[in-house]
Amino acid sequence: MIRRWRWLVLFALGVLTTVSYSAVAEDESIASKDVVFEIFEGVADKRSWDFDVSDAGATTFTAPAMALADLPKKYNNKGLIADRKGPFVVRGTTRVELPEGEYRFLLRSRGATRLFVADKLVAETKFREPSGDGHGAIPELVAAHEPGLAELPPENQERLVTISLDGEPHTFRVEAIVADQGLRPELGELSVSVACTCEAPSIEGEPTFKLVAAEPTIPLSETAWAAYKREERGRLAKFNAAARAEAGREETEYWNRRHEIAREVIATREAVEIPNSRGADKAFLTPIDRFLLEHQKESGREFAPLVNDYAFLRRVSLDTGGVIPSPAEIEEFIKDSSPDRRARAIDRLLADSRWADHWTSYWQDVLAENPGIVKPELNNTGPFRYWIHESLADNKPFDRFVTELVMMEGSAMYGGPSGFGIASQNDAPMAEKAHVLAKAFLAVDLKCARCHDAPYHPFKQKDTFSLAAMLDRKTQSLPKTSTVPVSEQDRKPLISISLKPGDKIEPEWPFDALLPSEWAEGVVRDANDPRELLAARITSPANDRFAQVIVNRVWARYIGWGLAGSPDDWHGQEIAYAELLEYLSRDFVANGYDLKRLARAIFLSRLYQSEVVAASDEDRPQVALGPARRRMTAEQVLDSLFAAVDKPLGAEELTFDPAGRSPADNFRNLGLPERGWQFASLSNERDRPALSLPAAQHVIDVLMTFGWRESRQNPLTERDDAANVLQPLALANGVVGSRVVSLSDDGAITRLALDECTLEELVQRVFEQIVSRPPSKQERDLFVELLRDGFDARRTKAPPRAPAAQKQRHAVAWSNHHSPEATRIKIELERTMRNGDPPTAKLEGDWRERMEDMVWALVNSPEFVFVP
Amino acid sequence: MTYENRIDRRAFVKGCGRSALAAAGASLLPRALHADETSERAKPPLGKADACIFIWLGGGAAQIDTFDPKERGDGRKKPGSYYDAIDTAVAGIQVTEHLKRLAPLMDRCVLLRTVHHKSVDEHAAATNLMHTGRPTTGTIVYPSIGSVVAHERPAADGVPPYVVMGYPNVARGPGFLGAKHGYVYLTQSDAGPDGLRRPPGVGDARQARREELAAKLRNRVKAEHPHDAKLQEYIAAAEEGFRLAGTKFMNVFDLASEPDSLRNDYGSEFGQRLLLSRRLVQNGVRFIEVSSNLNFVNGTGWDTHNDGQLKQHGLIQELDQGMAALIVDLENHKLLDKTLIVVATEFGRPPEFDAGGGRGHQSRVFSCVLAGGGLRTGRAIGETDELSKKVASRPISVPDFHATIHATLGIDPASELYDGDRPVPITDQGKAIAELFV
Repeated sequence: MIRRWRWLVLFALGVLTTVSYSAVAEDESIASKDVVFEIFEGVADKRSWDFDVSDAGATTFTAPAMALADLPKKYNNKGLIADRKGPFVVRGTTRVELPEGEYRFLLRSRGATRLFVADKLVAETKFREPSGDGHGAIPELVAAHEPGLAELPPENQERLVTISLDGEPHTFRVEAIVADQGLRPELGELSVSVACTCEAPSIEGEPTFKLVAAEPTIPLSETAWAAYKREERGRLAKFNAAARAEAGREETEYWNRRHEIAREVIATREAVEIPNSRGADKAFLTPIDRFLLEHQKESGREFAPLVNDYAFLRRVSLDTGGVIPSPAEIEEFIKDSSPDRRARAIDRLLADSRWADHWTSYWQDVLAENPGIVKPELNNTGPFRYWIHESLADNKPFDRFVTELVMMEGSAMYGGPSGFGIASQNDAPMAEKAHVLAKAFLAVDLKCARCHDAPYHPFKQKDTFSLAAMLDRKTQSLPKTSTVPVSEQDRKPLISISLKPGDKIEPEWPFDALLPSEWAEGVVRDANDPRELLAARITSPANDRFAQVIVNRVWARYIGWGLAGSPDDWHGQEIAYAELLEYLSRDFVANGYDLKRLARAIFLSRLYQSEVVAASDEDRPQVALGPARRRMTAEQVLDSLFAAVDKPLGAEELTFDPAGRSPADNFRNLGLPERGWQFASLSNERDRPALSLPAAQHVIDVLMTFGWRESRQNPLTERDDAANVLQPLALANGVVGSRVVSLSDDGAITRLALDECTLEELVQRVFEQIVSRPPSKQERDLFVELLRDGFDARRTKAPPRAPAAQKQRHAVAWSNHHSPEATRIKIELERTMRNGDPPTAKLEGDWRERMEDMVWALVNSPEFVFVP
Repeated sequence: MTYENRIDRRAFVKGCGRSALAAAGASLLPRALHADETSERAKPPLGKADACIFIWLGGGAAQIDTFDPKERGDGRKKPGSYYDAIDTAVAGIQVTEHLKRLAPLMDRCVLLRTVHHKSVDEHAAATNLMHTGRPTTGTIVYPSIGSVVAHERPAADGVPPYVVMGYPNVARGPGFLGAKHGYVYLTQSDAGPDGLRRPPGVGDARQARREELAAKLRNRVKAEHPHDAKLQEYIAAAEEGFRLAGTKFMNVFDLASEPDSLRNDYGSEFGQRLLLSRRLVQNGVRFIEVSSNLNFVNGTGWDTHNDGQLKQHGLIQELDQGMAALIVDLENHKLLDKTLIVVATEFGRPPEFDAGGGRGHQSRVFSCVLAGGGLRTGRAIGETDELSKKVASRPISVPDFHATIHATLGIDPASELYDGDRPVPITDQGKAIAELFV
């Protein structure tokens, strides 16, 4: 197709050019309504478009419009997050047919981008200018071209061109270069949108620009763009899940074979008989319950009363997704009249993707995941949280999970298990990893044996370094800094020291006496690889200890007390419920090391569904059997606070380099957090106001107060959960607490308060929203009394105000943070943040304050922060 | 020694029962680990101070431009001080010309000119080392010196023992001592700490209404679960917390009640933080870390690479004004002998200039300062070479520096803390500088 064109190209700089072209053949084979994107890796890194791309191995995916804010992940042949070879090109292509007329096209991007229409270059953005220091000037923020247009992110570029189209379909193509010049492999926001010059800007503030697509319908407004990005996250999560399943298909087959072997190993064992105990409550008893009652035969202890339905749902929701149930979930559960509605709720919750959010926090602690966002030097690891999260989302067999961790493959800096292998500024990273692994999966505590022989455990320092040698695949030489000086005159240490600095330690399994050394036939793929041998020793179906440790961990997390005492140190511990532990761990091994199956068995038990039995009562024989009292974890508190009022967290992106201009090896971007586990320390040890991220810091303050660790330099299972005065105060007076309580325009309580309903209904809904249950009669009376005055006249006619304070735009980043203006902006932002979310004008002020006080009272009730 | 001969701590725990452990563990276990500890080890010198104001010059203050002046350099090729030196109240001790208010007060100070460490010359690792006294290991997170002091010298009820004026960071944290020994912090002297300060728009009447509603909900929970220790502990903490936030303690943060002339003496925001510190000390706070790195003044704060050097004198003058005012003010309140002022930083800076006219990092020797605390002041400890590049005599290790601070506060630097059942000495074999103690 040859066609003559007249182009009117208007660049954003105000240069008006008229160009004539002869268009060459366009690709008419594109049939999809979606925009097809491809990624080509490893192009030349020379700040130019002068290179060829090879189609080999390109990743292909689609989007509903010519706009992206993120890219699919790359996976290696084991289904692990891998790094793309940079720089790489992202190319999006689509056929667009617009009525004849004159159009304005808006190209937005972070880095170098080109836009082609009918194979002709019509707009181009520049290559980025990397910046290592912080001495730059704060860039100007670009004003929007028309009212209602989504803001251009700071330091991003845009080009505006005017083109006449002839009413025929044409191919549009956008290309972006990513991960060039040693910068992080982040795309940033990329979009192409279009507006007909014939269309007048709307007075409602809806922009005329729409994202380019076969049929452009999505306006480039702040809200529509936010929704587009949200949908993209969901779409990419699905795409990534399918991609890693496909990439790891052969690996999955290997694991299927291993699980066959595991079943055979278990089949050779003498079966563990389920006792035929019957409790007074014969309603339902699972095998777990029968073991427990058998165990308590002599004491005669029975189960505590069944916990009520509302408390059950809140409990099991917190234990699966890590967050309290929504009113819709409560309604679905309560309205379900089937006799097995608890089982149905359990299955619904186990299938919910939030399962991965809740368990990621746990393994971050246990595995000492410790990423830093700037020049990490405090025993920091890579952010292997993303691999943990994906593994849990996939309900990956746990032996495979552990094997992948030990093998430390995939991406080191962008989320693969290879990031586990890093320990910045540590004198013996592999010894440190040996300590983590032994504690996590074998309940062997090598903490003391890291620097000398352990005084209270049967482990020598050599044991730690033998494991380290296996992990490192080579002989280790003991660093001087990993020893205790013995020549002190005034102190004679009683710890025993059997290694000297410089001693050589060979790779060998040190626990022959403690743990079986054999593994089942067919488990090991490369018997010459000490690291793989270590993974096999730990995860072999012949290693009962491994399965038992995991079962005990899951049990202890859900019940609040363990079957085998401490979750991570079994030395000298008596296993109280040995038969039950044996039964559950065999079931675990014989069924593919399936965490959800194990969790389901626990949730279905009469024990789990009993009322809480306070720990202080545990030893009193007349006291019933039930789960222990558990305070919510820090992440549960945080996520539930925001779920209770259905507000976004509102934290900043976790990076000091939002525009991606600083060297990838020193700066990380942990993204925009939506759940507690996604946070990391903002610590930069520089005390510069210009580097503060105040909204995120306030969230972190709450997390830390409740026991979350901003620095996970060492592995930990049981956090410090002692009560302290700062916990209730953080909720009562803190910025996050105040944001939660405030009836701003964006929260659920404001919506409920504006709804047509009676006061009694409103009180009930607010109770369900926050504490997941209806109020007692006294509670209802209390709050009806509080809110009656002015209830009928509570609604005003005021228009909505802007939502949260953190919407303030600024361009402060590492690259310019030395400028005095950067400090001024951030100090001002901190002040604004302290004022909390501005309240809605749609509710009359005095009544609104009383409603807020009700929310405050519920959030600050001890009931809120404990698992019921 | 064989394993069988060792005390099996868990057997020991079982034998004593859990509740006995807390009492027994603290006194028995160290002896189990260190034979005849008390008889072999000389008693360290101990001071009588009750509080510490720890001024942190984040970024790495140049000793050669502050407390250890040398021959002038030219700001480009020729290494040396960037400013002239002046005499002080103590014969033989000079400081930079921009410390003109502190110079006459030098008899209340001790200059530690040979602090040094081998940490990587980068901020996070060095800051952590200077706060915890140890490098990171991977098996344990060491507490900051502030948390250790808070642990060893608890404050009275209703008073937070450890306050930070600056940004939260890992180095300032409580480590294995747990959140209970962490800090409350504020980033502006007029803001009050988050959590203790009531949110805007909540006056006394509204707060009373809120607490009345909360008490009704809380009392129901309290009555329904009388034996539930965890719940009851949380409720007790909440009740104590509301008392704390409601009491006169919060008035401490109201600097407006100080005379204008005194506020002017202290100067800028950094000075106001020091004034607030004095008020906190008066009210029983044990350890206050005050950060001096508002990069307003010169862009980089104390991390004076490149053009950060040009206005470094502004930072030094701010430190000079605030610290001199603090010394005089504490003295007027008869608190100087009871309050140790510390000036610390993560490393120093070399005498050479970088391509942009600033300075790089130098951890092999740098200066810290002590003042008051009932110490034998008016002296400098340690000497550096002609350009302050190397220790010439009397090196001071980071553990020794920490041991000196602890000892001044009456804390034995060799006594042990516990990470679970693992004993950890407060300092890594640090020895207090003996000649500073009476």
